[in-house]
Amino acid sequence: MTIGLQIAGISKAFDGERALEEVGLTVPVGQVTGLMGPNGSGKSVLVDIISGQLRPDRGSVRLLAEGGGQDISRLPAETIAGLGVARCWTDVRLLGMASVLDEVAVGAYTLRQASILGSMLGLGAARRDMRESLETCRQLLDLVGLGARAQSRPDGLSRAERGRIGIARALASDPGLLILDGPANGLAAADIAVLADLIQALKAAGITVLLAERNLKLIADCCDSVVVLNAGRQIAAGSPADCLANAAVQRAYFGATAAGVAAC
Amino acid sequence: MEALADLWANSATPLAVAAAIAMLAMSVRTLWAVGVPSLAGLGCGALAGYLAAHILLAGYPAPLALLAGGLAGFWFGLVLAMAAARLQPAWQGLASLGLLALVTPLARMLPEWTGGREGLAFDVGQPALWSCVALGWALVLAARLDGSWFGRAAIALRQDAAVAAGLGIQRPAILGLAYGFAGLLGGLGGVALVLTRGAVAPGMFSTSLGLLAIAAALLGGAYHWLGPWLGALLIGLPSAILFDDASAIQDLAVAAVVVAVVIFLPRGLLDPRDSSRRAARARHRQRSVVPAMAPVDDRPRRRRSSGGPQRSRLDAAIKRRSGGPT
Repeated sequence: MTIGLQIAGISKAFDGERALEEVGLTVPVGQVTGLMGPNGSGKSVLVDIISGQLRPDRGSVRLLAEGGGQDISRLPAETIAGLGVARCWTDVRLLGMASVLDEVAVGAYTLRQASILGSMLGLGAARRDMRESLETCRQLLDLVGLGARAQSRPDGLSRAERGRIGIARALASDPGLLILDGPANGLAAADIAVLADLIQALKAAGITVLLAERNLKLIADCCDSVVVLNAGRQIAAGSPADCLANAAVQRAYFGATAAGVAAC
Repeated sequence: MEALADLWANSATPLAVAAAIAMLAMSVRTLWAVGVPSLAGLGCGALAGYLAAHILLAGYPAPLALLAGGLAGFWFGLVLAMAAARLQPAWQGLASLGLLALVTPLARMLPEWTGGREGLAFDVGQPALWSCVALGWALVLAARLDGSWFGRAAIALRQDAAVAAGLGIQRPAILGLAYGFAGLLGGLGGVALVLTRGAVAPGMFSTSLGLLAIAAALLGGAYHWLGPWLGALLIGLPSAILFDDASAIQDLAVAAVVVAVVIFLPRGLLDPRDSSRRAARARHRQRSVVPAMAPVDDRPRRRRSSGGPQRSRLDAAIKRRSGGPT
């Protein structure tokens, strides 16, 4: 089931240092929503709160789904993942599995049908469950362009390829909402174009995407709407074009002048 | 045939000791797999060993003692998991050292149940056979668990608990499973050791035995389900042949092996990553020998129609990307 997100009045401080102040945004079902801002603006903190890695000091995070919503702001990360929210990490954070395929397969953990006893006894249903899941993971690797690397060791791949493994791993859980945190960090322009293509494919597949990113081109190419953070506060919201033309956003990114945008 | 029988008669006891050490090393490795450097399985082995001695003294057969010991170890492992779940992995390891240190004094303080300093002695036929059968079952279970969802979840938990939580992996459940399975293996190993010795005594489940189990797991490879078995064969077997019981020289030799392996071979002799490395090298050789070969077909394959509604939409997207009909 595709799901959306509604965030209201989120605040978070670390040892009295404000990281987020009264942030609110809506991620409509089936759309790509951008969360942009310069370094240290609070994007990753907000993503951590949404995915249950951090708890907010104030405010609420609600999942929006057909037939009602659910407050997830106090739920642990593993429960939120079970509700269909998957995320990718800024620094990818692969898990040291023996192969790329294994790395992706662990993402399907929440969809498993096999019981512990069935797995230990090697029952047919458990073996079939694992086989089918691995086949789906191979197809996801095809989708992200790594089908030929399924049996490779993940630590031998480039930063861009590792990032796509992270996306395939998140997709393996069949998410209703996919959160991408800084997927373009450290990527060359050609790799960012591939990433943009992939995000469009996810949107076409009906998956809601929250894209936390500071790369303006990726945001402009992929997002239906954008929320801009700076120093933990929301400074703009709207279409990508409106936000990029916003004076406060330009000041946050380039200093006081709009000439910086043209230079960029 | 007679020569074969003689060979078995001469090597049965060292083999049985090696099998027992293999199962104890597997119990250590099971908890390492979830990132917990704990010897809790050996504590379960001690409990199972004394339980098995009582069962054998009551006249029941060795297989029943193994079964009861394994189950007792499993349940004790679950109890330990509940007690340790809130602790950080390193503290769980320290707590397990305390548990192992408690075994000897406790055994001496409860002579009605443990036989005191002298322990409990019994007679059992074919101990080596039953120990090897138990090891075979333990290896099958370990291999299946390793290749299952739960084996993958354990690796994820060990490598990055935050990412594992983000993937929906519940730490208490996987930790409980690991403790239970380590208890089962430790219980089987403890009973196998007791069967081999024909007795159980307070000093049997000491830190020396823990060191031997650690050395076997490290040398064979703690990242592979077969590693502890290989390590036990390479360390436990010579140890059983050369030394009758735990001695200072044995401890010294085993400690030297541990230090050498940690420095020079930290992933042990069997490393699951080696197979993928070999495969990658083979692919590389293939490419350089046949440069004109057709490029790898990286186009998306057709997906089956299993999965939920998102899967169907993803199917359609994949087909669009590959130029096929939607």
